[in-house]
Amino acid sequence: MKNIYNITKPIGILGIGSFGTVLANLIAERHSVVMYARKQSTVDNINVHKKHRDIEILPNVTATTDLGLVASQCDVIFPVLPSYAFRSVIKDLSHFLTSNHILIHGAKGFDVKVDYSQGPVELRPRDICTMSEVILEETPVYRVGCISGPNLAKEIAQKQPAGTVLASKFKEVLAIGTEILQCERFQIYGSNDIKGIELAGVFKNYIAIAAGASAALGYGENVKALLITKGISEMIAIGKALGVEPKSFLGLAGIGDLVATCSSPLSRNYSVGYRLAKGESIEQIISTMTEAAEGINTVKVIKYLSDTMHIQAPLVGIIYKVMYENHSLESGIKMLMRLNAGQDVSFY
Amino acid sequence: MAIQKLTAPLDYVNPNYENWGIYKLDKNKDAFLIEVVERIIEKSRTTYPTTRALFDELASTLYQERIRVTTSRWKSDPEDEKDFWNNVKGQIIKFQKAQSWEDNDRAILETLLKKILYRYAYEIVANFKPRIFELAQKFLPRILFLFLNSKLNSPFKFLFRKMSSFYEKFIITGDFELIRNLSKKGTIVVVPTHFSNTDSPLVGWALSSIGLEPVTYGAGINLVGTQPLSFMLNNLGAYKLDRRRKNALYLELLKSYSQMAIERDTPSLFFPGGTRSRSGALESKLKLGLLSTAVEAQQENFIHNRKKIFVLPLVINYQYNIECSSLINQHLVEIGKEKYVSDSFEYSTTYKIIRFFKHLFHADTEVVVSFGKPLDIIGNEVNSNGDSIAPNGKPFDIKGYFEVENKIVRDEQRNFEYTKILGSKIVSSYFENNTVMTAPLVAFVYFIQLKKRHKHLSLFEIMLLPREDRIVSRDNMMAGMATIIVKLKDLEKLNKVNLSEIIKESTIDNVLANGMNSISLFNSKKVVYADSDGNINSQDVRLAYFYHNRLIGYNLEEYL
Repeated sequence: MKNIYNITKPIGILGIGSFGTVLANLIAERHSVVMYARKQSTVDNINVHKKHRDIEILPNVTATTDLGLVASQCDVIFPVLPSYAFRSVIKDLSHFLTSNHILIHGAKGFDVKVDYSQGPVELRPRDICTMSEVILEETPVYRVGCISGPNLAKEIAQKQPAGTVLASKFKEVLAIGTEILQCERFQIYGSNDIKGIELAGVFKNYIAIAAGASAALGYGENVKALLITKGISEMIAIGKALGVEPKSFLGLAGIGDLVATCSSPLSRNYSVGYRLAKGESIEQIISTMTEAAEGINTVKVIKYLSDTMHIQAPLVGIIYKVMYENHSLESGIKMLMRLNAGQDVSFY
Repeated sequence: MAIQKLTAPLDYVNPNYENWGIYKLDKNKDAFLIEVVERIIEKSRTTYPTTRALFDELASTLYQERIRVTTSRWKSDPEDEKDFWNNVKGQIIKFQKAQSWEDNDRAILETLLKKILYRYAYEIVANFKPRIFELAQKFLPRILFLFLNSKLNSPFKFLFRKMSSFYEKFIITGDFELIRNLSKKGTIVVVPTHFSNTDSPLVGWALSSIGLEPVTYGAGINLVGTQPLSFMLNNLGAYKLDRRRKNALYLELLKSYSQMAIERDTPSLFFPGGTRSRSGALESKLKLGLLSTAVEAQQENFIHNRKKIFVLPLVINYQYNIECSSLINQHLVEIGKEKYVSDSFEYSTTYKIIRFFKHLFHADTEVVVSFGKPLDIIGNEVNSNGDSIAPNGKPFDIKGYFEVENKIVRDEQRNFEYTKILGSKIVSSYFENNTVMTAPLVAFVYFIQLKKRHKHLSLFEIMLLPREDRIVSRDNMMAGMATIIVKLKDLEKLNKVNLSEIIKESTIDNVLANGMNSISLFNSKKVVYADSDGNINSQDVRLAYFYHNRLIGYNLEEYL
């Protein structure tokens, strides 16, 4: 289909993490970009030194600490924020948003309305929001989309080819998002199942932690393959409980992202698992990470959700035990092997 | 917002009928239909871009129409129906024989398309005769009530009695000032719940009571063609829908007709539930086809700087429903299939309406018509200036929803997503403006307790229980009523539901007695009753289930 949209206004990016930064550069090849950062020093780095996180910033990327400026200059904004900061930034932004805006987020976590930091709680689907649902709750914007897929920031920064899924209920958002993002080395696949694509991006994080741990223990490809395929089954089972069809988990944002993050030390969640297996505590790991590994919280959320909803999710149970109940990794692997395996494919 | 209860009819916002949208539409009927047909022809050039595609659509229309003409004839069908479609067939065959799919032959097909569309258009088009409307407004309710009310011994007195006395039985609530204000600033689209065939006349009466000009709405062509009321319907702005016809051209014409009537500032009415609610539950899944025409109309109005469109949800509550038996039968047949054996019987529409009004005035009961908060086309609330209110409480412009970089882009798929959003807001409004009456409340408490007593039985097995197993003890019933009334009052405080006066103010005993009395009014069997020991039972569990459905969706069952 010929793309009828020609976007001339600058594109907004909220978030200055590694993915936000490479996304800004990618878009800046054909559009001007306005980035939002909280700290003036970051803004100066981007505007003056044209460098951030060791990545060269293209000339037509500018940064600002003024959310209102982003909203007034840009009709299309990409919030690429960690999930814990997502709602508050979107809330601040909402004062400046109008019916003209389109938001396409790149966050891979949950917003949970119940405090679960103090230990196990009952979690139901209604307590959990995906990021697009946060946008719909907090802003007057209806045209919402998300991008998710195997997009390791470092590889994109090295100008290697990659593909991603752009999901939205609105074909208009898909067309506009594609117009903005697509280039010779970035392929965009469309989906109208935004919640499915969001959940695929969230769920895969805890499987990546398990994959990192198994690699650190010296296990090979057999275990990795077991984790990926059984991980997909589990993701589909939990997804079904949240009202999502299996198909999105079988695409680029599901299997695709899982294969990438379960194989690459570049993935933050993978490295969490790796370091855990090497004997570091979860607190130590968190304190030394420069960017959030979403999987650390996702494990808790999915564990509490699957317990409340009585969903069979053995993998997340094992990872939870290792991360938060001082079980050894070896005993975790033993538990995995002692599970009543049952049928191979049972999610259809 | 100030919710009021109407005590006397309000003056028309727009007293001169010559300024009414529906009158102007009738007056310029031919020009309007030309515009409708031309727009569809224009659209067909994108929908059916090749001559072949257009031919296939015409052939498929012919095929479906010929089946209809031969297998399902109605009295309302025009006499030349068969000849018309035979003629179309002749032209289609002639074209096919020529076997030319060149683009320059498209004109021949477009002429044929036009011919079919005009036939449909003149069949559908609404008529509006102000004199008949005036007559209907002034005398129809009085005459109807007069003839139906055997309790009255002085017909003359009644005939000239003030209309205000009717408003004790027909309770109309809403923010009338806001609604009247908005009707000056924009085009009103009324979207009522649909439970009974008496809904249409009742809504018409409620709208004129608050001073709104008459609306155009779709009525089944079978009603218009065959019923004694047809003369009235035919001249009061109803456009005619033929439910047998499902072909794409007909549906497109209907949608364009509705859309362009709204664009021409004709207030309109859709029942977004599609048909009457068979289960007795409030509509929670809407048919979005016709509703989407309002969203499309708003997009066109923005392009041409015309009026804003306001959607007005409306909930109609009856203590009982005269059609309940046939409605619930149809529902149970649909969901139960072989598990349910139906014994359906339905009166003719006119007979039902007469019987309804007759009983209404014999019994001590009421009808509540509640206007919800007016919404814009995406379901945002609206202030008295007609400005949409954003979730953060500030007025904002919704035009941007149709724009990309400040330019309006036509996009049906996007607009359909907006229609879904509007639909869900309408459903919320239905639940919030629903007025709980004693009959559904009694049925709800009884049926849920019966169901809990027989946890392991299916719905259909519960309906077949012998009498002694249908008992709910009086104590349980009273306790259940008390619990649910407390929960309902909590919901009412949060503006999540309305309660009838008697539930708000009277004792549980009275509420129970009132509910049991009115629920069985029209049935030979007692739907919910107290047996000789004072325990609660039912002679027709189907109907208890039907009335109980009205309170589904508030999650009240978990408290019983």
